[in-house]
Amino acid sequence: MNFMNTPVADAGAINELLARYGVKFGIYKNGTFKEQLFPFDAIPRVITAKDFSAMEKGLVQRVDALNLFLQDIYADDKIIKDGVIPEDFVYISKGYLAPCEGIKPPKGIYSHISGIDLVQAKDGEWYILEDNLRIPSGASYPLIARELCRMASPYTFENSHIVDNRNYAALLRGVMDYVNCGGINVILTPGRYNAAYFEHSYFAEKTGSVLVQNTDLFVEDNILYMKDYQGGKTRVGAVYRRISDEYLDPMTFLPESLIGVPHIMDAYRAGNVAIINAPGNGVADDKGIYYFVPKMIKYYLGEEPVLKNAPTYLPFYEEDRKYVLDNLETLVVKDVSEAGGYGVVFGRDMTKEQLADWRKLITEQSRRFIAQEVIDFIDLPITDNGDTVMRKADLRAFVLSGDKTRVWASGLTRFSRVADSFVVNSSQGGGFKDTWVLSQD
Amino acid sequence: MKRLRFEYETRLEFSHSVAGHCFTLRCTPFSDERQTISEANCEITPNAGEIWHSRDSFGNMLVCGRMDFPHDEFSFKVSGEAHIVNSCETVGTVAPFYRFSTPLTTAGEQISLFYESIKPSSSGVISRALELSESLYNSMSYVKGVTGTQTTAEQAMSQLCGVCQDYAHIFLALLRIEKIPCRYISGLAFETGETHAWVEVYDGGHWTGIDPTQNRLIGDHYIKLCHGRDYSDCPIERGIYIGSAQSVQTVLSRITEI
Amino acid sequence: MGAITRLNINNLFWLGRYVERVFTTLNSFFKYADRFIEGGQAAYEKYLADINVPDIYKSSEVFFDRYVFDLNDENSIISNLDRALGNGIVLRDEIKTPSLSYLQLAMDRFKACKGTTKIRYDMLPVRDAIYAFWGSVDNNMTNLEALRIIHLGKSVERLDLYLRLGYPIEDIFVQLDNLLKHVYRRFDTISSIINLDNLEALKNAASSRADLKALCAELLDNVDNLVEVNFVEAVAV
Repeated sequence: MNFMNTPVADAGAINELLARYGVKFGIYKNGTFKEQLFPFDAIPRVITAKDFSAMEKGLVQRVDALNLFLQDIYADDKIIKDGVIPEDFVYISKGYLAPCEGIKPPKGIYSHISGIDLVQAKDGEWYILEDNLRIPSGASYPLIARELCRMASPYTFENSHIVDNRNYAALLRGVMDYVNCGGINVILTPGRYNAAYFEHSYFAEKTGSVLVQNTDLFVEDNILYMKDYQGGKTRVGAVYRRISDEYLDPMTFLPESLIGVPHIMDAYRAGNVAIINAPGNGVADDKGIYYFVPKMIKYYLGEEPVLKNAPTYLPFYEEDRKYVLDNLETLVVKDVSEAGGYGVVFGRDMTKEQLADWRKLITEQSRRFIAQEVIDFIDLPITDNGDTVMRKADLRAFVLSGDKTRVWASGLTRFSRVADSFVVNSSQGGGFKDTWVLSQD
Repeated sequence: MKRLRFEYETRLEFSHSVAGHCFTLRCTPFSDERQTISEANCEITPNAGEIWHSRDSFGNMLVCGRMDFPHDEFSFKVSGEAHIVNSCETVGTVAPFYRFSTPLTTAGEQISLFYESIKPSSSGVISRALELSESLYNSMSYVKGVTGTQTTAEQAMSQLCGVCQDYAHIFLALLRIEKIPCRYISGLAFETGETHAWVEVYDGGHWTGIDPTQNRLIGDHYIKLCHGRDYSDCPIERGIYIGSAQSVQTVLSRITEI
Repeated sequence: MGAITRLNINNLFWLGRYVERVFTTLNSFFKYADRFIEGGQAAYEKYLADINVPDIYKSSEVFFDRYVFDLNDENSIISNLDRALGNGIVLRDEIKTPSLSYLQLAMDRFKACKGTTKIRYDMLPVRDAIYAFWGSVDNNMTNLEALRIIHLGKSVERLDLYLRLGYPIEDIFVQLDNLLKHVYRRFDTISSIINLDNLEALKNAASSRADLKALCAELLDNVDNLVEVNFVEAVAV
């Protein structure tokens, strides 16, 4: 069966529904907050059962290894002592947080929700682009899009063996309940003007959690509570926080944070509350650490990695640096501390002077950059003003770690709306598609 | 060996009443083989609100608290007795992160240049550290009021002056160029009448206290309160207030020999 | 029943108020609309005076357009709908996605009516969406306490507007009863602010419109106080 170019029957109806259901994301332009609809393309990405089964195996393996790595780094540092990963890549990483040393998160899980970005090359092989283990966002969009597609175009799903993806909230709820230390589940949002506010509120509704801001929470005797309007308090057992580590607790991290919860780290350290995802995960999804993930899989699991990394060079190693300097024209260079598609430059777009500048910069700050071969990834068809055009797209797969590690049979397919652009991020104007995983080939 | 009676008080006065207040204090010295603390007492004013204890990843004891009512003054007063042996060493373990620079202790151009010009020549870790301390001591001037708690080592190095926190941060930056494990210490010292900062250097299963501001190994008149990679890991007091008040802080420290 | 946070309580109350403000001002605007069309400049002036909105419009044509459709006019009906939607967006988890979608639908349909020459007809889907919103909150909300607070906001707003807009005294009595029920049923603390039995008696004795107005004004003031004291926590840090 080939669905590749089959749009869901009524694209107009779906876009109308997306608008009506407020499926938006916020962006700041010139300092003002604006909400935009996330452009939806009605031609789904289809992943065959065979492909998905391999992908699933690879993703579970990768996320399990990353969780073991985080456990190790914040406890025994075995992988460093055994010489598999140079310590520089760990302790200088911005995502490494010394105040998390020695804390054992509930059930030992660090990355509960992992967003793993992949691309498919023209030869059909899937490559890992990056791991997002802090607060990966985006699952709500394909989740609600599927619901709306099934409303607008029900017969598309007749006998098509498309795995129903509408279990995401149940999976998320399962993870929250599994690590909950006694008390309610809450989703902590920085507020209405966050880019992903739709997602925060939608997940709160769908998981039966209370959507809270920092002022709704307080800590007493190392226990986290939510206060209600009558002055009562309710114990909180799990916080799915959608604010980043550095703002999480002004008593431990940035003192100027106005969106954090004072002393939440004390409650967490005492084992009285689960923080989803655990603080300190940034050390494992750093672009520099990415290079070492296949080695981690071998080290912790004794297995060969199922999914490949894009061929990556670390200028930190002399041999790699030489290769990068010699082949800069064909490589893509990424700043390890940037995210969201920023800090990414292609050698082929550089002038002679720029190439020389970059060679100098890479030599001087070898730890700051990685370089990768440009993967010629497949274009997907999208509808543009009635025409079908081909555009670059990636896939963010969501892996949830609770009593076991599960891959959500769907994902967020983001595409570039500009021809030949590799930048698919929603913050830079990209759109999204539904991702269909087939239950049989 | 000294027996010291210590009293340490920090008082914050707010220009307007604040509606609420959360704080974490690392103000109570704990016992190790160098210092034995007895009759330690921590008094917090206003004497209401929730107070509890916790511990951070560096091993410091924390006094945490929250006040949900308006107040225009906040203070804590620690007092007790310390028996201190005349040694600068304690037995301990070390975490790898103590070898790596932090934003406050990153060597920039000035510190790197300085380091190149004074590279120590001896071989032992402690001897090298003492050499670095000496060079630093000879180049810096102790001047109050020209730096703040957020001043980086590099900034302080550029102006060649600062207070004990700046000496300690530059010293840490220099030690970390050498990959010597080291940590920032907040404490009380007999002569100063205020809080004091120095550094501990790790070698061979021991932490050795070195005071770069005085260019000496610490003695039996130094009472240690807490430690971390730099100042920001272990402030003696960190608090946030609800309200838009300015605060004025006064610190009193008195150590008398018994 | 889930606990309600302090931020939400305020949003719930104002969600009820704004949705009701849109609905009732739209209805009364329709009533006046025929008179405006007949050419009564005075009609809109009186209307503005009743609802306490400054006359920045100067002509009935401008008034017609801006008072209804101009999002930059803070007194316009659409601005109130925008506020209702803003409160709804932060309450998705309480009111549920279908309820929020009706507010979004009302907004989309409202905008589509701009420039219409048959406003009462074209606005029917907006009214439908608001009715559907009320049906949806009643049907879908699982936190009944939160639901009651939305209804409290609605009652307060309706009583306030009915008084201003000169609704018949019988209608006002009905609304007053409604409000007292909400207040009695849930908010014990109000009895410390206002003696409700006394108020009930006064209501029964009130015969003139002026008496009634004074009474309601007192009640509304006290509800506002109650909301202020109990619902609105200073959150600025």
